[in-house]
Amino acid sequence: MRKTDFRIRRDNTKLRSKGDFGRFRNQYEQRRKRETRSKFIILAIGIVLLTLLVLYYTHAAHLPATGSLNELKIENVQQKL
Amino acid sequence: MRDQETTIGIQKEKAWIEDSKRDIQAFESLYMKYYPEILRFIYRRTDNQMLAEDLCANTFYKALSNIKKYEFRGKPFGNWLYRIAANEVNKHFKNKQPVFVIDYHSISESLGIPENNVPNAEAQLQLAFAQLSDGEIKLIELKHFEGYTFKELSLQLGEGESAIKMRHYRLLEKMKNILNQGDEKD
Repeated sequence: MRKTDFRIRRDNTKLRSKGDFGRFRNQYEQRRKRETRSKFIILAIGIVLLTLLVLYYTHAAHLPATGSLNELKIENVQQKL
Repeated sequence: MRDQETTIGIQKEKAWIEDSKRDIQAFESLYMKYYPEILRFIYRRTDNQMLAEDLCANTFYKALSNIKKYEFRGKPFGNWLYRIAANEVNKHFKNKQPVFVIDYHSISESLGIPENNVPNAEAQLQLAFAQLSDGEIKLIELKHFEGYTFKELSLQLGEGESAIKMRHYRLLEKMKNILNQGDEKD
């Protein structure tokens, strides 16, 4: 824990800002939109990745334990012949 | 008179909070009431007006974003804002030395510091503040820098009015003692 730096000020009239609600509201709405958009993008990427993962595993389950897809195709043709 | 206003003010706040949950525009009353106070609170902990304005905007943004979760428990809305503001300041000063700006004129009279003893008094005042706990600094800040009444302090700090009066009296005595010790050494 660092020690606090206590500073003396004699001009407490320095801060006279009363706040501008209109400006705050605009900034709030823009920031809210931005945050909603980035949440949506993250969610969309997540769904795509999850779909790809599911597809990969369901497809891999039909494949033989060894051998490539080409070998599988050749095997099918040979069986038909 | 001001105590009666405080009670009425809290009831008004309750209505403003409920309205703000449905309509952003209703938040204006709370924003206008607390903005200067929260800005000063942050400024005292940053000593930088631009930074204070940024952190203050973040504070109100977080308050409005989470207002639906806010439950009114008879305490002023400012209590919650102070907590958010303190978190914002702590987050900013995570690995830096914390700052606290002492408003000299607001406290010197209560401690009986003469105006002509300026350079020495400033150093002693810094020393006195350095020996106070966070809770004690908060009490001095609200009472002397923000001009809270004991009733307002009681609502803000969640303690009885007489307990606050006693704590405040003892605190001033403690600070006076520290200042006197400094004088004796000089």
